[in-house]
Amino acid sequence: MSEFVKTEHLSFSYEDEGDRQNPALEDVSIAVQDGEYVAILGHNGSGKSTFAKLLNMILSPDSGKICIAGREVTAPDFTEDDMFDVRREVGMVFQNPDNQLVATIVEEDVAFGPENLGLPRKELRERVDRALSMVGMIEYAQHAPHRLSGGQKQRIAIAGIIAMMPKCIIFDEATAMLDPLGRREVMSTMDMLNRDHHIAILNITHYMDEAAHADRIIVVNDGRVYMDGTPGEVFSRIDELHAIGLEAPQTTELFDFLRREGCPLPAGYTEDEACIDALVRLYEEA
Amino acid sequence: MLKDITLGQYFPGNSVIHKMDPRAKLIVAILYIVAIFCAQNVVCFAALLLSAFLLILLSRISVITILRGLKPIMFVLLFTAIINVFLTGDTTEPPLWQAEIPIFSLVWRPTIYRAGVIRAIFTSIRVMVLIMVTSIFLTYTTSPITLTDAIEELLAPLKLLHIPVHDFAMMMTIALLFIPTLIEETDKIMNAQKARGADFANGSLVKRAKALVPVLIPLFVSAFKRAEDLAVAMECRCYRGGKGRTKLHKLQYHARDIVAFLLMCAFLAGIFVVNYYNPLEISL
Repeated sequence: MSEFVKTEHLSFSYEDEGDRQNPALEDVSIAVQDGEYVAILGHNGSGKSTFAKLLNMILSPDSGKICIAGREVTAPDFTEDDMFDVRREVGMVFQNPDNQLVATIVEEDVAFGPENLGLPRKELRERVDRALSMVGMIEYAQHAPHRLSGGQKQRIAIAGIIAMMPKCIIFDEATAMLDPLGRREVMSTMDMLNRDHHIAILNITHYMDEAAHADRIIVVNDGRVYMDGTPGEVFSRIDELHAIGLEAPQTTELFDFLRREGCPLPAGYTEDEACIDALVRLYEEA
Repeated sequence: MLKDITLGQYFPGNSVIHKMDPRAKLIVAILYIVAIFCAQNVVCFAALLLSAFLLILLSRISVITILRGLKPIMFVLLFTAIINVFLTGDTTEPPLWQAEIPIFSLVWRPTIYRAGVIRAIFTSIRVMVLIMVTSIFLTYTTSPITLTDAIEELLAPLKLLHIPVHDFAMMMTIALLFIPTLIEETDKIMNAQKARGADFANGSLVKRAKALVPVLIPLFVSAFKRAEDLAVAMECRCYRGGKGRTKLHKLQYHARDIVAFLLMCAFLAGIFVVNYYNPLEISL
């Protein structure tokens, strides 16, 4: 496995009106492997969105290096055409579904990315149909996107990215504006893309239960990497999470509380069903 | 309330005119406009009215809808008709009607000539047919987006002169796309301001206009925010203008488009002939 996204000592700061530097990211070194599923977790203002914008090449870092798909995008000789090549490898899904749809018919919106790549019509057709059936929206191909629900719109946006066949998709708080049902739809789409199609997923979020889906969680706080590990490892350090104002998933919080009361329960992340089983066993033993 | 606004009044349908290629419709509509302005005599105007009626039937849009579309221009029609009746005409002929209205020490003599009346009727028919036919071909049967595509394709030769045709078409498409979103947003902001006691319905015109300021400012701010988000999202989807772009749906001419074009050419030629020879020797 090779590193798909790699940052080295990345720093970035925003300038405010008084020309003062407000550091948003400091010395961030992260590597994401091909086909890995990573959640980047942090509360508002932790620098996680800035990180997305840097990977996206909307912002360029003050110092440090970013490599995507084996190419250094921060190199001085990196041109617009190179950027075009890199962007087809890394897709991005944003928060507001209304602000990322560009056509009035679902299938035309999905086709937008591949059209920009200049693919022949036959391949466009195949890719659009495939992407729409992957997200389960093929029967909506001829609909108008603004009539669909938030979760459906977001799935259309994802289909638009899949149709470009990237190796990695970054979700920048893609579920933040959705209702619980829409969130579930988007989350299961993410899981499916990673599991069945080996697309690397970088989910930037502040929802704990979403982060639990990932293979690996990177917690960001005050522009620095605060923790980096599997969900089990990260959630077992519950006190450290509390220290920066984050909460572990509910099952973890519950087990932690019960453990403090003297119950023999495991630390780390537990699925809902496993949690119920453990509690039932505990009850029967007692 | 704001949700009822639809731009261009597109009525989806399955008629022959609906199915025509939007480029062909644009060209045919332009030819028809030329015919309207070339028409000079009674036969021509009869042909125009008849053809407009036939087009209404072909489009399968109800006559009532189309007549309702004429309502906003009633004032203009009436105004031009009155002007034509009173101010034009052949002064060598005896007047049909004359009055003497004293205004202070002056006397105003409104006069109506036969030629003026005919001219008023012709002008009214011209404007009516113009509005009806262009809306049948363009707004009623063609969705705004396909119309944009058609304009882009038809203006494509201008690219040679370095005119950014694609960019203009994209701008139009996005503007159309954002209309429902922004209408929804306006509704939301208005409700939010109403909840804080704003009153949009009462007071003088000036007062009501002023009440709209706190609606427009947040609307503009959010429109700019949306525009920026969309620009970033488009760039992330490898958009870089029309350069090297292909299209999922390509516009294609069919037999019916060629037939429509030929029929319209024949119609235009017919109008020309009737104008200059007036073979039926009918005149008013």
